[in-house]
Amino acid sequence: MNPKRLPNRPININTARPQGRVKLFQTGAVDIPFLFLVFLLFAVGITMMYSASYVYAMNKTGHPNSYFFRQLGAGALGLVAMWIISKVDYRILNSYWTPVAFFFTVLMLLGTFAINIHNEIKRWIKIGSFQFQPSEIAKFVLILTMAYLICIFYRVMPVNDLKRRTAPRVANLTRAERVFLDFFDNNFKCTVLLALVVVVFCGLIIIESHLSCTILMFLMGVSMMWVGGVKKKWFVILGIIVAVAVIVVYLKPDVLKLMRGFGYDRVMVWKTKEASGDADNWQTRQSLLAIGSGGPFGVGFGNSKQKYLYIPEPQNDFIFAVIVEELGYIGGTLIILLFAALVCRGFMIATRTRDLFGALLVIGIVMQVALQVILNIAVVTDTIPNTGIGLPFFSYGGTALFFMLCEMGVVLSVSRRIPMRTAVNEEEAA
Amino acid sequence: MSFFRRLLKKNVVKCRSDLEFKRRARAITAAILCVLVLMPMLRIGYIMIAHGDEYREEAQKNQLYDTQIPALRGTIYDRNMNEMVTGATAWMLTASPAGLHSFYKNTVKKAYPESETAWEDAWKEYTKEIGREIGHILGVRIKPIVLNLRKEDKSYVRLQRKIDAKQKNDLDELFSEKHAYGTYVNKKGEQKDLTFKASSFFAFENDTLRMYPENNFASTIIGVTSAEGEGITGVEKYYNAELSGIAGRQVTAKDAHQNPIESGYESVEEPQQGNGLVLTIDENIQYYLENALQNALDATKAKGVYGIVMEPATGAVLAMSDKPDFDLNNPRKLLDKAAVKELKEYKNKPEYNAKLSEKLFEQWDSFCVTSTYEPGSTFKIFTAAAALEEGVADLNTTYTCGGAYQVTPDTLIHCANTRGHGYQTFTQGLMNSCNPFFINLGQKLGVDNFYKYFEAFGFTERTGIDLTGEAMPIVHSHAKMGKVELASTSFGQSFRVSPIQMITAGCAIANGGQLMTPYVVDSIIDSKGNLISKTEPKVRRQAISNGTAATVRQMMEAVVEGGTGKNAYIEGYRVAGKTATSEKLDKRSTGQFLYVASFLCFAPADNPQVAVLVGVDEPPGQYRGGGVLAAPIAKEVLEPTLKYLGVEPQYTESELKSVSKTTPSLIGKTIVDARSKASSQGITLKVIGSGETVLSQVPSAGQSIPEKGVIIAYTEKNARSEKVKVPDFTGMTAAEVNETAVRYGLNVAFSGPYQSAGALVYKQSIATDTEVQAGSRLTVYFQATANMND
Repeated sequence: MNPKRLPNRPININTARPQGRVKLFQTGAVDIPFLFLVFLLFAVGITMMYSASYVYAMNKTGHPNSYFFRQLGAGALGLVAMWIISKVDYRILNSYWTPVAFFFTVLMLLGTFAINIHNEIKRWIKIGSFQFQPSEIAKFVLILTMAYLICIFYRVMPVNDLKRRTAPRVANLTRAERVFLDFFDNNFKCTVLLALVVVVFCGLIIIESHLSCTILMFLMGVSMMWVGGVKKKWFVILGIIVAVAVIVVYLKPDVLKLMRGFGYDRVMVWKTKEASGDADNWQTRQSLLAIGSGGPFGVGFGNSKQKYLYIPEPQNDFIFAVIVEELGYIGGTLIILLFAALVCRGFMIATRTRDLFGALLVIGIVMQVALQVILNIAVVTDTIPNTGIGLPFFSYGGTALFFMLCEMGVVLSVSRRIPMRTAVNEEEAA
Repeated sequence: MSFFRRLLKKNVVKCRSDLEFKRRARAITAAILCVLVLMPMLRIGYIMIAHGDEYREEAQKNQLYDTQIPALRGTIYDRNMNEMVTGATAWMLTASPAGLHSFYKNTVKKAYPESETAWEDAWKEYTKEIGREIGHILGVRIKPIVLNLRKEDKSYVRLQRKIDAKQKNDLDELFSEKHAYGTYVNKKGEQKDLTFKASSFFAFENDTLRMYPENNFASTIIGVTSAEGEGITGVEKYYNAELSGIAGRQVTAKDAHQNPIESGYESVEEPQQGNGLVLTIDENIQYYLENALQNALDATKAKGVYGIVMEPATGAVLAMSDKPDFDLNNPRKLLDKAAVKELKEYKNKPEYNAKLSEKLFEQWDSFCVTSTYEPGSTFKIFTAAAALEEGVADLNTTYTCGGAYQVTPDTLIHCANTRGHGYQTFTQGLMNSCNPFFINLGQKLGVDNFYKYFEAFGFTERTGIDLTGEAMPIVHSHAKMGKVELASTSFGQSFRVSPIQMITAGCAIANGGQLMTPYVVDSIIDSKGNLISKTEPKVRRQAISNGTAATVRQMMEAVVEGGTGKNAYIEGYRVAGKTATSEKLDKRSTGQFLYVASFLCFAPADNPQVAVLVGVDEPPGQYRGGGVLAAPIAKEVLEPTLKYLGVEPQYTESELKSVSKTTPSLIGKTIVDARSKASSQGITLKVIGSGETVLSQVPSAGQSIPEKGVIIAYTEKNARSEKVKVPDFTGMTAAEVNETAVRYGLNVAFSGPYQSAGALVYKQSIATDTEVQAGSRLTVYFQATANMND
């Protein structure tokens, strides 16, 4: 690579909006390692999805490749979208677009709930034969909203004594934003607002009975609040509350019955390992059998037997079990390390960019990927109750893959704005 | 990495907030990365190390479909390597009722758009139809097949086992026929049938079949196998492990819906055929025995007859049978009418199955090995042997029988001859089967001495024959044997042993005192015929000395020559034997006199080659002893057996006289010449026709005819050969037979003790009123019935 990135330079993160109008497209070079990791994960993911879905597709549709081609189509669209999004200057989002997106998403989630109010599963919107989960968008909008607010609050948040004295340094605020900031003039108020945003999203998704996504959103929101500078004591308090709640639920799952029995069955199945007439424990059991069958090196690509309808829908949430069975402990670990590398590289992009908004977006997105992987594998390995969350890049699902690639596009877009080590910049640095 | 390097260089970040942001971003990223990498690695590692094997096994148990390929069971040969039992490959018919049902539910349904349930009727109709055809081909009941085919939730049912190649071919043909279930119109506008083949829902698996070429033959020795091909009785059970072989396996993988996973997962292990058994049984001798026993059973209508032929020198069982027996090809059919009747009472009761299997085992078990009886007078030879060996008696010992023996002041034991046999030598005592004589010997021996030989002859233990279910003898223990018990045991009553035990002990006298372990399997060979192991004759102990044994044999020979065993007399062979008629003391309470008539013999007496024990269990009607009932059967077995074994007959002088003559050639001679030539040889000549010279003769020259034989000479060309109807010789004396034979122009040979007083014909080789050519030869069998109480 000719234009090298600027390393090792103490830089101030620029919280200010760019002066003047932001151009829609940008020209900087994308972060090649990150792009490479995305391609690698996508390729490995879709290959494993092909192997895992082969038998199921054969049985369901009569064509072993049908799921693969659908996923491939969504993936191709996603890659194109990723490239286009990476070309767009993400900073146009650091404006009134974000509140608009926030309210639009809230409406959409409410709408989804209203449409499906009588349905068993409330999280899908169907348009013709195309269906998608608004919660996929909601994840990104949560990151976006949090990043937007944190940028506004940034000088207020971490250190109290700076307070309003530094506030003006948040440049280029609109009038509305200034009024807004006038009211949220201390750390506590800001914290409350950020928490409120998280609560709104979590609340809207939990009424769709989408427990796994709620947990994911909650953890993402809390991570963003942490990075954004909410005081540590709140995390201590929150940690204690969550720990107590988890312990209580673990010891006495009956308390869940008070909350309309929400998740009670799943916790009981997980705890007692006895299927109470539903397929949950069967699924987890078969997943464990697949993992146990894998051994250090696996049974070889395509040779999984547990995918022969033993694991229900092996291409979905439990694809990792098939991966471990086929590629073994080594293969599974390598895939985990690929995800870890993606998170590391994302973190590097976040810390190198000079724009706080971009940094927050990237941190949020890689956090989302990491949390999704953790939750998925915890379920597949029977570490936590079955929640139903897919493995990014791997699990079957066109919209999920498409939105994931779009989010990767945002990270790439941020990476394009990392200053190059060019002759001019060198001089500047000197 | 640049981030960490920057930290090392302690570069100052100007803004605290920036520092705070980076610190926090770094902390959360590090935390998340730790969880992301460590949680799966530790958790998956734990699962694999702690439960890996368990999970893999469970998964394989689910995934692998392990079909056994049954091994062919070993072949069973007689000692001349004739196959008595063979294992053949067969098939098992299986079906997938669930597959058929869902095919109708999903596919055939479309052919009946007008009604929702029409496909169900069609399905029922089809199962009935195909079930009927399968039933016809297999010759089994149709209803169970149809019911099996309608088990709509079962994806696998076994319809029929042990299908042979022809039935399989017929079924294959049936299943490949197209079955039309509806019609459709194709693009050209033609109406076509919608069809399917039954073969999609039926399959054949390997099975084995046991074939018995000769139905009942040696059935109780060979034994029965279960539906799973395991031996239940006989050598099939005792040598089950050898015969079974090693089943092969066919491992295929299947998915969760029980459908096979496509190729690449299949592995086949070929089955190994079981080892073959070469029995000590000789098919010919077994045939003689079974034939004689069956005839005896038919004639006497006894509850059962049994017989064993043994080689004294080795203890090898040459033949063994007990009638009635059963058909090995259809062993589960109860043949005993009384048992069937008894079983009917249990119908629809829960005990039915237990009762049925009890009755079946009664049918299958070999009486000779699994049952016991009171041996009676045949046991006297062992008392005699003990007395001789201990020196309390010798051939000169005498005793005067007064008809009873006072054992103790309270116990008086009667002789069979209540008037008493009077003064007798030792040999005469045995010939008369005199009870007081042997009680006296027993008392002289004393309990300890007697028991020493009782044990030596193996009456207190099993013989160790290689057949399952050998009965343990029921005897007085040494400690409990008092004077009275000793007295009754001395003549063979008040204890029970199995027939195989009795003949094994008898063989010890025959072979010079060695008690052998009897056996029925001579050697074990693998499926290619290589020898794996051979049974060596096993001497258990020297029961008595050779000399004593010889003396006892000599006395036993006298029993056959002139005593109660004379019905077993065979010209040219010195037969030694002892008769017995033992009352079933345990069945006295029934009010009937139930008894076992038996005969133990061996021949030739000086060097026995064969020992035979025959018993007739509970013969009905008039009382007849072992000498009348059992001895002739033993003779019928012994005579052909000796000839078959190539034992040369050695005639005594008196026997030589009666030995048959060879017919001279009379053809071409004038009638006068012919007559003089015939009469010079003691042959009667009967001339048929009015010609001058003999043109043909019956029997022709060089044939053997009895001493006072007849030759029919024809003197006219094209003369119709003279026919005669065979008269009824039964009940005649020897002289009467001779006279009648000449009158009819028949050559009659004698068999049995025809010389002894009161011997009468009881059987003839050609039935009465059969039309035969004049001059034909037949044999009549004599039987002595006087003075036969034993």
